[in-house]
Amino acid sequence: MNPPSSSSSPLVEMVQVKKSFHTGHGEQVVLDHFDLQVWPGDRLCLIGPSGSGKSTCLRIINALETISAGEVKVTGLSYQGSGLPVHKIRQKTAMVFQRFELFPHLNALENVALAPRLTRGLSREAAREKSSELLAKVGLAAHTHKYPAQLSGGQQQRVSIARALAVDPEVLLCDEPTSALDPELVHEVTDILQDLALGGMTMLIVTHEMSFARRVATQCLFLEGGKIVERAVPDAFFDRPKHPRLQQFLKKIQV
Amino acid sequence: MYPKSLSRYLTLLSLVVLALGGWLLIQSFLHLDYDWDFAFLKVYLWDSQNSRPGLILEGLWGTIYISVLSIFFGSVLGLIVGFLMLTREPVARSAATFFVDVFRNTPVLVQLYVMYFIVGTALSLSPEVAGVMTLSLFCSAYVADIFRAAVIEFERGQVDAAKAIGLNDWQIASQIMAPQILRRMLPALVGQFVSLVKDSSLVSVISVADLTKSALNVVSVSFRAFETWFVIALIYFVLNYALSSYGRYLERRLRVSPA
Repeated sequence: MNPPSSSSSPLVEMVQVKKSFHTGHGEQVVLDHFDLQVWPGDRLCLIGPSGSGKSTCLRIINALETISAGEVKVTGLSYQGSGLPVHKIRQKTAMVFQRFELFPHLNALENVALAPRLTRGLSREAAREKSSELLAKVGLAAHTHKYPAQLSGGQQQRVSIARALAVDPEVLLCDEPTSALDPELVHEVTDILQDLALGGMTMLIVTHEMSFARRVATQCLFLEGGKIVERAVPDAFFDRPKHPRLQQFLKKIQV
Repeated sequence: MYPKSLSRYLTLLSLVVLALGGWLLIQSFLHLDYDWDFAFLKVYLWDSQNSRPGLILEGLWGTIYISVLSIFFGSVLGLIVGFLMLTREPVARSAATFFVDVFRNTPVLVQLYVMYFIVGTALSLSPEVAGVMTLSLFCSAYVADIFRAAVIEFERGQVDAAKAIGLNDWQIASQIMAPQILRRMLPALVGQFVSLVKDSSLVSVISVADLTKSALNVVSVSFRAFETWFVIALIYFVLNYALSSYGRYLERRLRVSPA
């Protein structure tokens, strides 16, 4: 999917990123001296306990969160120093949210067609055509005119995947895409994401579905306390974890 | 939803209350030694000699005219004040909040007096202009607060989703937030507009020719207060019932998500 030439530079680059909040009790550090590079074709699964900074890392990549220090580049464009408007850089990425976050006043087709029409300058017809194709791809050809409230959780999440794909993202960010779903609907969404992975899509996925991570990831990252403490290919990550915290974590979720 | 027996009790209770109310009303009328005559009002509704609307219909037109203008100006101003209440800039925000507090927590009657007799004298405002200005300011305070609440309640997640697909701030405001916020404001807005139509009766005290002023005039020549006020109340009811029915119709048609 990605031409070999583009692999000469990372699609996402986080350099010495620090993110902290000021709370009543002082400063709370979420990410600290955080470095990450995502290359074309990478499928990185971020795994870790809650509060470890996984979601924050994703939200920083598309500038939904500001950072306290460091630099974030997407396709070589820096949010901090390029002088480009944030939404222009953001258009290189797309995001799938835990709680779907579809627009309730628009039907499935309109939800998907909105961004191509407004950000890619597609005509109404072209945007609708593209959106119907994407909805067919996620198995929702029969539901294009339904509103989010009329769809199941799994269907809503598939619409939101189609909506994300509609901007032709270089990187797809998935923030716990199955955590809000009933267990029997999880595979509806993981199947689609797995198809995308096989198609070569560059992805960054925060997930608690370990078997899914093992199937799709090129590498798994274990985050704790705002730092990456282990990074390995799935087999090594799950079968031969090195860091004691990861060993502990995997033991806990296997029970 | 309710157990069957409970809903039966509710039906019974409603019927009893209705019957009691009806009985009370009928008894009161029977005890009243009064010679009812609604026929004299005909000439005040329609002046057939000159083939033109009578005093009451002219007043109705006055009420509609003043209410429509006040609702229009009040909504425009209300949105502006609402925006100011939401800014981070402390002076503008405090000023807007103070404005809303003053107009919501003082009687409209006093506002009218101040606007007409004090401000109006200084600027030589006509009663109609002073009336519309007061009602517009009063209405805007409520619209501002309804708007502020609707914006604050808007889900952060949808804004994040809109940002994540690369929409700019204007597109997020116009395509995602505005359509939903306007729909969510509608019930509260219609309620506010209905009470504005009723409150507009107060402009009669600064002798604006509205429905209430017409009623006062009719009563002063006919000495038939009961009949006149009943008919006036009926006209207000019809006017407001039409307004709230239209609001309910819009609410159904524009529902944010057809569940």
